[in-house]
Amino acid sequence: MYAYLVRRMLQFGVVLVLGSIAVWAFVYALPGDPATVLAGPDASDAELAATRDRLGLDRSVVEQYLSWLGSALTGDLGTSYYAARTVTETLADHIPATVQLAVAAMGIALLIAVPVGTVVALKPHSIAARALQGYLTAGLAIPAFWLGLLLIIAFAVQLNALPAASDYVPFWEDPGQALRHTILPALGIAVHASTVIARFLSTSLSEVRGRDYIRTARAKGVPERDVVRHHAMRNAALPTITIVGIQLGAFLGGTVVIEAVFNYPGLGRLLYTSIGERDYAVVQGGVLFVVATFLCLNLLVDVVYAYLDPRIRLA
Amino acid sequence: MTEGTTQAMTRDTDAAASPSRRRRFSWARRFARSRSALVGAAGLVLLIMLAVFAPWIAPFEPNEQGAQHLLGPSTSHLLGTDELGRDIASRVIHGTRASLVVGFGAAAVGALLGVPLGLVAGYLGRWADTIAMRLIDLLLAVPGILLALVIITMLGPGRLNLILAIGIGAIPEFGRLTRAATLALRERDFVVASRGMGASTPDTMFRTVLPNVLGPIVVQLVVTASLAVVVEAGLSLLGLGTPPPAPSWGAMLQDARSYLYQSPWYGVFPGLCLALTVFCLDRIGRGLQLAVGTAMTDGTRGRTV
Repeated sequence: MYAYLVRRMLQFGVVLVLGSIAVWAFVYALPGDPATVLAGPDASDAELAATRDRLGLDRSVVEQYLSWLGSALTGDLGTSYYAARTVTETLADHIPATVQLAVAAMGIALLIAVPVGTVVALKPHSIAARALQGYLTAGLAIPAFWLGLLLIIAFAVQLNALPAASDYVPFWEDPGQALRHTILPALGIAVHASTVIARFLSTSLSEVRGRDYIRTARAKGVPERDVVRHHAMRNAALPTITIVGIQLGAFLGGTVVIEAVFNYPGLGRLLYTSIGERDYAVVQGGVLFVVATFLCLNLLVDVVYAYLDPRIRLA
Repeated sequence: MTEGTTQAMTRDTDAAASPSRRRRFSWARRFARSRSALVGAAGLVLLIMLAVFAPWIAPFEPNEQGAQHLLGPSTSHLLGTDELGRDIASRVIHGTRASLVVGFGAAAVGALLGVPLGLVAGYLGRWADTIAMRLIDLLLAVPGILLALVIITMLGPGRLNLILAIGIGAIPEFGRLTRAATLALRERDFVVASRGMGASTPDTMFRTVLPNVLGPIVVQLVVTASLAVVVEAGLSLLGLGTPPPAPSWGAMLQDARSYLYQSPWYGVFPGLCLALTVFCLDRIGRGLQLAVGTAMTDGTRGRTV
């Protein structure tokens, strides 16, 4: 197990370094000169040069990358070109909002996916399973941002029950308000995610159900309930953990569109507006954060997986 | 390589082609046996016809600003009009073009870049495999929509750039799939025989291994197209996809957001068409998957946008 984990750690490190280079290079290659934008159209050459110097834009490519990486490692991701704030502060303002949304969405998705996936796998020919199949098909086809729009139309415009534009209210400060503002975007994301997870769970569950050890368990008289709970579920849950981790990682950086639809002040909307404003430093820091988070989650999933699955742990 | 072995090689690949052709027909039979797959296929044919014949089917020019603004559905404007007095139904019909072209275009880009990457990684192994896999890990670490957003910002707007930006995000799926299949094939007798007869490495990879991986690749093409259609709409919603005034479902949803109170029905049909497109592609993908007999790909399938 240690060899396996060490290898995964090494890969993690390599990909993270590659990621930092890619993130930095992407932004370096973006069109537009922030110095001209920042200094204004009437700036003299001397003013332009001074701005470039201040932002470090006049140094060599490698130098710019290394100095960026060096300070990034100490938590200094530079200064936002426009707002006179550090990138770390700006990110710190928006990340909690996205984390709250992602956690809420994943919570709802799991609440839907686990029962739905179980019923579809265990009682595939029941009426309930057929109806749920319909949900799985529809839910997968409906894009999260369109569902979000429909939810706004239904609950904000027609019923006037929930806000059309969602603010970030920290859950621990005001759970009621937080719920009011988070529920619609979270539901929009969760429905699609729940269909992906439920399909995955039901596939692994029906696969596991045909295995010899399930037959053995039944043959020795284990009640069906316990067969499902202790023998089938535990084995089917393993591959599902992977997809939950991947989805959660995608939520943390990929809810750009739904955040735009709800005007939700999360990381996605920050990145999108920063791209529009050519605020390179914020984009760099934000994407780096997304990449690092995703990789950490993956590593965590691998560790959990190895811990739960003796075939990997002991290999 | 002498003349003789080249001829032997050609005969050999010809002989290999015929069973694979037979197999392809049996896919089609198995595919046709699934009713839901056929429904999906019929729906897709309908959408393609809408896209191709849009100018003849649509009652109005998509950018014609004749009517009153933000009308509700009526007999003259089936789905009403938008904020500039354009016929929404006509714009929805014309929007099919952007969706399908970008969706399938991006899938093709993903396959064209990802399949060779997977072949090289799986067949050559060692450092080629290590490099390819880390590259794939890296691409996977950025959510598709964010990756497309960053690439489109770098390349600038335009349909071709949009296709590239979304297609690059699809490289990992194609790469991993091809790599896994190649790994399973590379020590099989017919591959070893091809090598033994002196076929060059690229020849063995592309002419002996590749034809035997096509099944799962075709499945992945459809799956990727269904995801790409949604990403295209998402980017258009953000104003970075199909450039206006060309009609696109995503951009219509964005416009609809501004008039939720005046005309709540505005965003319903563009989204419905989008969902129908994804539905059809998903049905086809499932049907093909069963027909070809590939296992479900792991979690990269279906990231929520």
